[in-house]
Amino acid sequence: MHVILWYEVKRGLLRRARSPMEFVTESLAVYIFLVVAVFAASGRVPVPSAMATMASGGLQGRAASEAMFAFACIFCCLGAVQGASLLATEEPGTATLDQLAMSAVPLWVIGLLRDIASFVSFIPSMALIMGAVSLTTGVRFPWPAAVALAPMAMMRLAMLGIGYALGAVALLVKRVGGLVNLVSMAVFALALAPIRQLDIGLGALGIVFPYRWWYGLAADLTFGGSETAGLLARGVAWPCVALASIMTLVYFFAGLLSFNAAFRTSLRRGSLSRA
Amino acid sequence: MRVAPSEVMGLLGPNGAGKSTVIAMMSCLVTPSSGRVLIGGIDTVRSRRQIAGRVGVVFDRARALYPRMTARENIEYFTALRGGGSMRSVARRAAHWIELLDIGKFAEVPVNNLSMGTRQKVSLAAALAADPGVVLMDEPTLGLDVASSLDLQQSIKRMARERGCAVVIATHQMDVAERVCDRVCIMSDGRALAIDTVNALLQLFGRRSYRIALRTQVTCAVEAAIVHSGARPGMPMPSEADAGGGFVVDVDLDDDAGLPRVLEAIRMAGTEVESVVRREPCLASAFLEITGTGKGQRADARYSLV
Repeated sequence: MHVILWYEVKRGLLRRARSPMEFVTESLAVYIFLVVAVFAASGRVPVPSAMATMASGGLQGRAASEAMFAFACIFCCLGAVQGASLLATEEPGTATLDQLAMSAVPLWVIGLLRDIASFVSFIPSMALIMGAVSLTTGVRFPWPAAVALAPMAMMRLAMLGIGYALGAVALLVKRVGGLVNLVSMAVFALALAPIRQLDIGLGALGIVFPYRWWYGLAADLTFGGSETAGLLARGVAWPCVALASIMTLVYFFAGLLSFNAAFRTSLRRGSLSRA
Repeated sequence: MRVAPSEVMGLLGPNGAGKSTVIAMMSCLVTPSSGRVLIGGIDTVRSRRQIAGRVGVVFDRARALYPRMTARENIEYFTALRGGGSMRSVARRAAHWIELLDIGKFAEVPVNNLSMGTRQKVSLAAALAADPGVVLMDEPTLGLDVASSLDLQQSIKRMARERGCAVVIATHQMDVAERVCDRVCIMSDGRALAIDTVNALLQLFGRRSYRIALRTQVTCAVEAAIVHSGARPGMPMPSEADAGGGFVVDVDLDDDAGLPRVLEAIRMAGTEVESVVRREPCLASAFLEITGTGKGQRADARYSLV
C-alpha cells in the first residue's frame, strides 16, 4: 500500500509542478482571500453589515490569528470534500477511472490514498500561503499544537465522508461540479457560522456537524488554556468527545457505504466511464 | 468462448454488437446480466480483486493514461496500482517494457506531447508491466497511421507468443484481425455468430469474387443482366470503390462455372468486357455475410456457431 501512496503523492506533486499557472492562480486566490479575511478579523477593513452584527461570534470577534487558523482548517478539509468526486470525474473522456477500478486495491482505498496525498501536498503550499499572509498582515500564523492534530484528523475524516457521498453521486450522474461547489460552500458556511451564539435550531448543527466540535477543540488546544481543554483534562468533556467521534464515524462510513454502493451500481449499469 | 494462453482472439462485429461490452465484462468493469466470465478459472464478479493483477487493458486512442505525466510515470503508476511489488520492482518492470517496446527516447516526455502510436505503445507497456496473464484491447490500432499500426500489431503478436499471454482484441479493422488474430469471434446484436480461425471462416464464408472491368459505363441494363445470370453484386473494398471510375463491377459467385454465364449476360447487354480479375476471399466479405450487414442475406452460420 505504501508503494501506491508514494506514487499518489508523486502524482499529486508532479501535477502541481507541471501546471504552475494553475498552482499560482489558486494560491494567489487563497492568499488574497486570507489577507482580506485577516484584515477584517483585526478590524482594519470595513466589513459588510451582516458580519458586523455578529461581532461577538463572527470574524470580528475572533483574534486575527484564530481567523487564519480557522481558514487553514477549512481549506484543508475542503480538499477532502472534493477529492472523491474528482476521482470519479477527472479527465473527462479518458478511461483512467476504468484503470483505477481495475486495480488491485478497491476504488475507495485509492480515494483515501489520494486524500492523504493531497493533504501531504497541501501542507507546503498552505505553509507558503500562510507565510505570505503573515508577512502582509503582520499577524502570526498559529501552528497547531501536536495534541491538536488528532481533532484535526477527525475533522478531515468527517469531511471525507461527505466527499465519498459526493463521489457516489458523481459515479452515478457524472456532472456534479455544481453540487460539489454548493456542498463546499455549505461546509464553508457551517464551519464558520457562530453556532454557539445562534438559536437552538442552528445550535443543533454543532452536534450533527462534527467538524465544529473538533474545530473548537483543536482551536482551544492550539491557543491554549481554554475552557474545552480544561474540561478535557478533567474528564468532563469525554462524553462530548465520544459523541463527536461517533458522529464522525457515522459521516465517514455512511459516505463510504454510499460510494461503494454507487460503484457497484455503475458496474451493473456499465456506466463507470461514461462522460 | 475460450481463449488459451499465447492465443490472440479477435472480436469483430458491427457497431453495437457488444465487443466493447465483452471487453468491459472481462475487465470487471461491467457486471454481466447473465452468464459469467472466468479468468484463469476465477469468476470476475465474485473475485474482482483477484482478477486485478491478472488482466491488463489497452483502450482505444490511449485514453487510459494521465496526459500530464510522462510515459515512464504512467507505466510505473499503473503497475503499482496493479500490484507490481516494491518501488524498485515497479521501476524495473517499467524500464523493461520501455526497452522492449522501444519507447526509451519518449520515456520522460509527458504523454500529451506524444504521437498517438507512441501513446498506444505506452498504454500497452502500462497494461503489460504488471505481468498479466490476459491482455484485453479495445480498438488498439484506432487512429494510428499505417506504420504505427503495423508496428503495434507486431508488438502484440510478439508479446502473446513470448509472454504466453491470452490476448483479446476488439476491432473494426479486418486487416488487423487477419494479420494478428489466431481466431476471431464474429458478433452481432450481443451474440457470438461464429468463432473460428480466419482461414476456416474464409473457407466457409469467403465467396468467389470477381472484378470485371468494362469498356463502357456500368448501366442499369448491365446490372440487371448480371443479377439475372445468377451472380450477386459484390462488395468493393473501400479503397477500390472508385478505382474503376464507374467502369468496374464486382460480382460474387457460388462457383467458377457461373462466370461464363455472367460474361455472356454482360455481352448480351451490349457491353464489352475488358478484363476479369479473381479476388481472393477476404475476412471483410466473410464478415458481411455472417453478420448480414452487406448487400446479401445473413449467412446460415449454424454449423460454426458457438
